[in-house]
Amino acid sequence: MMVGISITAGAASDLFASAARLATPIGFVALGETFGEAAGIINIGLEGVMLASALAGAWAAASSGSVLTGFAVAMLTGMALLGVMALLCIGLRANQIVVGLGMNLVALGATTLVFKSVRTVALAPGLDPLQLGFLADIPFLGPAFFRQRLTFFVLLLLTAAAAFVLRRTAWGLRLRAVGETPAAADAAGVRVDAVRVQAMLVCGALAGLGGAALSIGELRGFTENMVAGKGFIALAAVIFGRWKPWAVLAACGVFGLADALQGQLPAWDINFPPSVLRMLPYLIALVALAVQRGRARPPAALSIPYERRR
Amino acid sequence: MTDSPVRPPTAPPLVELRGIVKVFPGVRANDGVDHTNAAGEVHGRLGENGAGKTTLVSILYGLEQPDEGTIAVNGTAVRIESPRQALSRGIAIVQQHFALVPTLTVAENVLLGQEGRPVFSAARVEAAVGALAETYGLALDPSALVGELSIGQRQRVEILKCLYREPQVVVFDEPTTVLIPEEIERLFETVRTLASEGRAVVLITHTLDELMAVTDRISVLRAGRSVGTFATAEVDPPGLARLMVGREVKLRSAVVARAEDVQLEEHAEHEVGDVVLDLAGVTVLDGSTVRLDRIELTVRAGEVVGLAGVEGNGQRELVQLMCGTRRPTSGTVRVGGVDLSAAGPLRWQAAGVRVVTEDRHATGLVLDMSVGENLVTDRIHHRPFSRRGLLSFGQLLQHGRRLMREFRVKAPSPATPARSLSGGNQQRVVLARELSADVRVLVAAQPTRGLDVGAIEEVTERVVAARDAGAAVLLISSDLAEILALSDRVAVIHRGRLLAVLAQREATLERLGPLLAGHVDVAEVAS
Ligand SMILES: Nc1ncnc2c1ncn2[C@@H]1O[C@H](COP(=O)(O)OP(=O)(O)OP(=O)(O)O)[C@@H](O)[C@H]1O
Ligand SMILES: [Mg+2]
Repeated sequence: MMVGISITAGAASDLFASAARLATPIGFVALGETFGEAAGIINIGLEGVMLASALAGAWAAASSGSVLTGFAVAMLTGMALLGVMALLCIGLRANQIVVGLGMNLVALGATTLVFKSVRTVALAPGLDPLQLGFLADIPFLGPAFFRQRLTFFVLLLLTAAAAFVLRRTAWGLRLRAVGETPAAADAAGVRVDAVRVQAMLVCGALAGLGGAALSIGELRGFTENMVAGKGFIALAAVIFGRWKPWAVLAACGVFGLADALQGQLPAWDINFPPSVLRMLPYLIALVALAVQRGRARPPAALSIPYERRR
Repeated sequence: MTDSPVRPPTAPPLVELRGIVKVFPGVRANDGVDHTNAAGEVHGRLGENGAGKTTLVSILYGLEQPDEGTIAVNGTAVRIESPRQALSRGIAIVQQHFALVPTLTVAENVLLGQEGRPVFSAARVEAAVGALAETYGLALDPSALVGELSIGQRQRVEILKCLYREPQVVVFDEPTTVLIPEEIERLFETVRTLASEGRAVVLITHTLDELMAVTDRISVLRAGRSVGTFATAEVDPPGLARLMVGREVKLRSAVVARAEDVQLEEHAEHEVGDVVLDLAGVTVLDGSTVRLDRIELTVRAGEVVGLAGVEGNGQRELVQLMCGTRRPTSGTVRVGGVDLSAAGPLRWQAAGVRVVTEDRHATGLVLDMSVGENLVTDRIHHRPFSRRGLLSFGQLLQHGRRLMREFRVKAPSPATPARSLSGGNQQRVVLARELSADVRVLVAAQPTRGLDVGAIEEVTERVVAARDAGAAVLLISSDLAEILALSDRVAVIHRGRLLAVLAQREATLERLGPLLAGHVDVAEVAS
């Protein structure tokens, strides 16, 4: 259409490279949410979890000088926050939407407060892109996908692992049963609450990694509200990807592409009001969800607390 | 049964429940009930709808906690706080209402909770489950999604799931209501095998013949209290019915219907009028699967047409058609001459078509709404229940109370959630709603499923009354005795095709049997 004229292969390769880079943090979070939702837990608070672990990770990396420590702390932060949510949603059967909203508000406030008093995290160490030997030299694909940061490749591995765990393991089977028909799982001897808590902790760990992938991997520091809706995009990606790990990852790729396009269009001399461009990923998310055919059905017990009764 | 279980007199019973009391808001569901099961014994449980049978076995399985009473397994007092604990003590159950995950395959449902190892191979599990199904004569495709199975097939999955756990104590809560006769026979062989292997079996059923055929002892419950426990050899069906209901009941059985010269009083002379329901060349496709294949069928005013067939042969689609929730791919459906092929549910209802669907949980009731609300879901927009968009709760309660009395729905009040009713009482709520409206066409799919003998008698009377009031009745049932007892004409459906439409006189068990299995002579189709 309007862009078609002047794009060279190199430019397209750049576009995909930045799409993959931008999609990586979202991908971790969306993968985590895939586990949560498969087990029947919806986490509206991903944005907050991501934000809090981005800060915690950046701070830990900056003060220890170790990227690995940063990621570990971010992951533990995500798990701790999801642990609190599990206490409320499963222990006390609180409404998952309300708890999630609360998480977002608290995380935004708390991170802003902490950030204003510790500033230094703006100088965290970061990850450099890798050069994967001969793969990096493949025309087009090389620059687009094989010169990414380590986080990108870890995400691919984790996606494969998630697909395997959900399909082929006893735990995955229980997870899916608990998200669909908890009463049936209960009657089959599955501990519904335990499985749901486990799924939430996995979700927290992955959301934490997503936060760190953003703050340590990508931006080398923390800024106020740096997540800027990526947690919500991850939520949309789970739906768009129909609760299947690889499809969810692909959905994240689409959103990453929209994000990348926003950066590339001015470089191609295509001038659009920047405020409209910034809406692009979110617009795509909205349109994607609206046009999606009715066949994608969420887990039937999504967001419904389970209590034993007939 | 051949011989009674032999065991040393000192051996404690495998399971023993003593003085079980369970109180729900407004009902004492169990009021001091005892139950013992020796190893190798099949113990039958009988009682009216709402008598407390399911409650008793739910307590044994850890789904409910008793208010009073004790449970002992193998002579040791135990507390069973969850199904998980029950399973670990070797107790397994086939619940009255399915506890299956529709998005998982048959094999996965069987495996769930009992996976053994952390990683499994779908192929290996499917092979194992397929082999087990074969052993017990339960025809099932292990790789099929449970959500796509018919009710009868789901029941088989439940049975398989239970047996896969190799339980010491096996509870069957109305396992036969959705099975066909051969399957019931196979199930009973299985029950006998289980008993001969030294397991204890509890069997709940409303079918007296089944209890007589397979149990060693029978206990009768009435309104939560034990009426007594009897050796099966010492009782007979009429006696059991009397004990259970407290009055004489007219029993219907295949044996009665078989005698061709018996003129059942349900068939007494009645007027038959014009064609009301008219299906012409109705075909329904699901993608490329043919669900209904060029159906030609008419039902006249004042006539009962029975549609016999094994479940899953197109009955569900036919019912959906007449609820207005599915459109024919081709062909027309007319009611009183008006083409309703493209009409939605409201127009079908407005035309006076009332449908008792076959699955009370999925399509008959909104389980989390109250009984009173469920009794008006079809008329909530009309006076007197709503005026200018506002509901009148007074009217709703009053209406609920009246219908509950009239249809003998056993529940504390119209405000009780439908979920908490016993299975049979849920069915009565559906019947009360549909039969209390203006009925021009009554489509009744498996209307007596899960009802006790007294209630079956009532439903029969109500269907006959609707017919005599001029309704066109389409009775869809897999129970031949029911079809033969009520129908003026009998149609047989197999794989979405009508194989024959027979007059009442021609419809005999001998003729219908082969047709149900899909065997058809050329001559038959022509007629
Ligand atoms: N969870 C519950 N909450 C409230 N009342 C309940 C609950 N479960 C059962 N009841 C009530 O307890 C009584 C006994 O119910 P139960 O299901 O044990 O009957 P049943 O003998 O199995 O009947 P059916 O033959 O109809 O299945 C009924 O009056 C029912 O309404
Ligand atoms: Mg029951």
